[in-house]
Amino acid sequence: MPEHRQALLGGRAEISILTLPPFVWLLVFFLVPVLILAALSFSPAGMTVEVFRTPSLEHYRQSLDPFYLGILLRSIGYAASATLITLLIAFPAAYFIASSPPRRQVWLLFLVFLPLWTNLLVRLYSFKIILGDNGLVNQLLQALSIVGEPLSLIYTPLAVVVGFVYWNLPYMIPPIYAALERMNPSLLEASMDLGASRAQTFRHVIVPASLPGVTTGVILCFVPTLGSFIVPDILGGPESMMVGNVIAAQFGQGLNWPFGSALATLLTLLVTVGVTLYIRYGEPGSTAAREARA
Amino acid sequence: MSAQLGRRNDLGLGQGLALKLLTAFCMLLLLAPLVVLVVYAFNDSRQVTVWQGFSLKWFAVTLQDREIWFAFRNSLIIGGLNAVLATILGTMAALAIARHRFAGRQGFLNLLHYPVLLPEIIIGIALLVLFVLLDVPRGFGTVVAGHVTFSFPLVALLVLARVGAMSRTLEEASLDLGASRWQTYRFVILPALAPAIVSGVLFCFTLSLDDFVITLFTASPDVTTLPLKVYSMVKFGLTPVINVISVLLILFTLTVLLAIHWLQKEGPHQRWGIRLAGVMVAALAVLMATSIVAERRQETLVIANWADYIDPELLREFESSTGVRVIMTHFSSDEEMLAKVSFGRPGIDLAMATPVSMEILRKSGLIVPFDGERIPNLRYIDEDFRHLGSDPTGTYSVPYAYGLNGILYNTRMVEGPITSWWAMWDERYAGRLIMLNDMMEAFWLAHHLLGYRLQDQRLDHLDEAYALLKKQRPLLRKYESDLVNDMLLSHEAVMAQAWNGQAHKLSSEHPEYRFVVPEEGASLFIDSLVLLASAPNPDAAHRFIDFLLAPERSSQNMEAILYPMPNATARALLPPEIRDDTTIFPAGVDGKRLNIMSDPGDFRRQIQGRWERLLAE
Repeated sequence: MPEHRQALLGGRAEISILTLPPFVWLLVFFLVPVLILAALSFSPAGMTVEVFRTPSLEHYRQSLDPFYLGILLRSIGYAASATLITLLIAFPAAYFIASSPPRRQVWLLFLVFLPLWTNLLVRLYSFKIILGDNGLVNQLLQALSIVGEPLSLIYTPLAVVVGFVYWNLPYMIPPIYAALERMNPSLLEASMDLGASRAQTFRHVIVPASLPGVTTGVILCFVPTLGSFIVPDILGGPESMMVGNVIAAQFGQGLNWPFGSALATLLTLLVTVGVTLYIRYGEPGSTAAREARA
Repeated sequence: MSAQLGRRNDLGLGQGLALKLLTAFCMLLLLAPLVVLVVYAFNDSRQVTVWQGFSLKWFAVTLQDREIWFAFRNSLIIGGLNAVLATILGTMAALAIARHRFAGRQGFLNLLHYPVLLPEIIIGIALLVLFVLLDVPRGFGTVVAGHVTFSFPLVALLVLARVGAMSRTLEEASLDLGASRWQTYRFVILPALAPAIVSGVLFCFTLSLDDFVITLFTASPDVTTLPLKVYSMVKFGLTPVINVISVLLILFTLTVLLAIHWLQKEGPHQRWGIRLAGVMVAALAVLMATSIVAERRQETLVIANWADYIDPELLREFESSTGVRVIMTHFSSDEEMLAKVSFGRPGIDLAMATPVSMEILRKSGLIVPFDGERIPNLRYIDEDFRHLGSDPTGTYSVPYAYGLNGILYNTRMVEGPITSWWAMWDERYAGRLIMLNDMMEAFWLAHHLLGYRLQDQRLDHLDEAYALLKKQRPLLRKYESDLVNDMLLSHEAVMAQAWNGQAHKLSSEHPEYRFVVPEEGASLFIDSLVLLASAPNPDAAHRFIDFLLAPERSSQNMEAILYPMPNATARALLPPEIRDDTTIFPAGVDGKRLNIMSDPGDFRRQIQGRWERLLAE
């Protein structure tokens, strides 16, 4: 670092003034509470909150029994399939938007963000109107005589996955779009000039260019889906209960906060380890490529 | 950036027909729900899925709904405070990271990413546990703390991107010309960051306005936000009011965005625009602060109650005669009520308890006796109800209403008449049956049908009962207590276990629905009001109960909720068609066995474990 820049950095006092408030805030309202939660998970169940009285592993044993483990695996399954479907729907749209003329890009992005203007709960509730037994989809299918009896769509795993995909699309399209939009068209011209087919260009130029955006999009979709409880709560039936519902139920109905804390702590570990590994090794194109470019 | 794909797409890549169709499909998926929401806001029908004609009446209903206005105002206050705090903290963090090298800088940056990464529910419950441990009463402060925690790291990342792109030349020039660090911040760095900061403010505001999960765990009933209100509306009855709220929200966001767009337009008035926005935000903040102070002055009474279980007109009357604002918070099961009132300082005065929950609350010291002398109207309560098993002294509870559950079915779709509970195991109606979302009722019924008694607390019987319920499980559409009527009306279910008052609301308007008390007997419930030990306003609680027990008001209340109350004087005042209605005042139950639930004590854990399995399998 050049000498005169060093002088610009300001004194130790300035660093403290800038870092302390945000750091203390995170310490008090984030780190400490999450650690207390972890501590609570070793306490016996009861109607009072006691931390570190008589530590036991009871709640972790319960978390790992096949039933709850099954719910955890199911949650991962939901999150993975919803993320994959979202990606499959979002990618073509993001590619189309990125390659459109600038004016059209603005309009299409506006439409992508439009759903975020109204509350998520309201939007999920609209699926009750759409997927209900005499909802719009069933009315349409019956009008076209495709089905006689209405299909049971709402309160099924299908409805939950549809809800997740819908929820996640506005978070998946923008990062992929941003990655593609930054792409240098000369690369594409070069690829085509050198005789690559459209498919080859797509496979070898466009897909790699999109990977950083895909990585971001996948994290933005997978993690909130994994911990979600509103979507299964509103659109799902019993068989679509996810780990978030079990945690919420322990705090909302079960009176078993320590067990809920144990599940939450497991989820925290899962997300932390998962995301770290994914960013480091999951996407060969992402970190390595970014580091290479930098 | 000159080399953007969209600007120089000479090859016409990515614009083929297949991609156009796929994009159209994606947009359809994104926008169809919004279109449906908006269109159905103008629907005349109360049923949300049936179009009946154009009408603006739901807009009138929504705009007149006081609770919605309160929730919206709370959301604005919380959003505003969050926007200010989170933007300041976020900008500080971003400046520190972008402009300084210090020990732990990378760690600090990672820490900033962490709240963004973790599922919201974890932050929500972690904060709840913190506030309970520190005995902090939940309210505006705790909600804002939660919102700032998840939004300021996002602002930091947003501003960081902008600082990173900013050249240091100006800064250097400013310092070279003798400006102090402070002057450099004030006149160089912050103005350059203004656009990022303004978007940060907006971003935080919308995040707050939309947040449900963290608010759910950190709010008290008197700071209900719009999302919490919408959630309870979605849970406790579907009406087009929800559609109207969404239309209004879209319009609100559109207005704000257009205003911002206009303010940020390039040109001479940009600086002026940003200043104006600053003044407006400051004015809003002052307004909000005074509004909170005024709020704190007004006396409130918070009641945890079942949905639709009190006449709203009585509440208005109480408010106008005493000046106390009554706030209702709803729950949908006994267990949910217990969880709501049990931990920390939930800010609730009165709760509606069943004998089971009353016993639990009394044993754990969470409720306190009423002062009978301050409730002269207690004399109207029928003697039989004064000393219930769960409250032998009769001081911890004021009996409110009673009733029983039976089977409510659509006579056009079910081969009747239904006389037995076993109809709820009839495979012909697979997927179209509803059981109440009530653990104790479900296990009581299963024991009863097997010829056992739940209160014997025998594990082998419990397992048999569990097996019986598990057999029924695949036949059920849902365990549901609140939306039973909606689901029957929309034909998502044809037969349901239901409470008699609830059933009466449906069958009186739609005669094809019938309610029966099956021959095997049924479970009776008695709801009583209890006074929480942590009640912020026990005085208003006493006044309210005395107000409610006056015979003419009890009678009015009974007419509204359609459950009988143990108040003979009030019953005599009812119109004959209600007094003689056998659904409301079950006469046909003579000779049938009626159960009153009692607290299973530690056996509850055993029941709970099996119930959770039933719910999730």
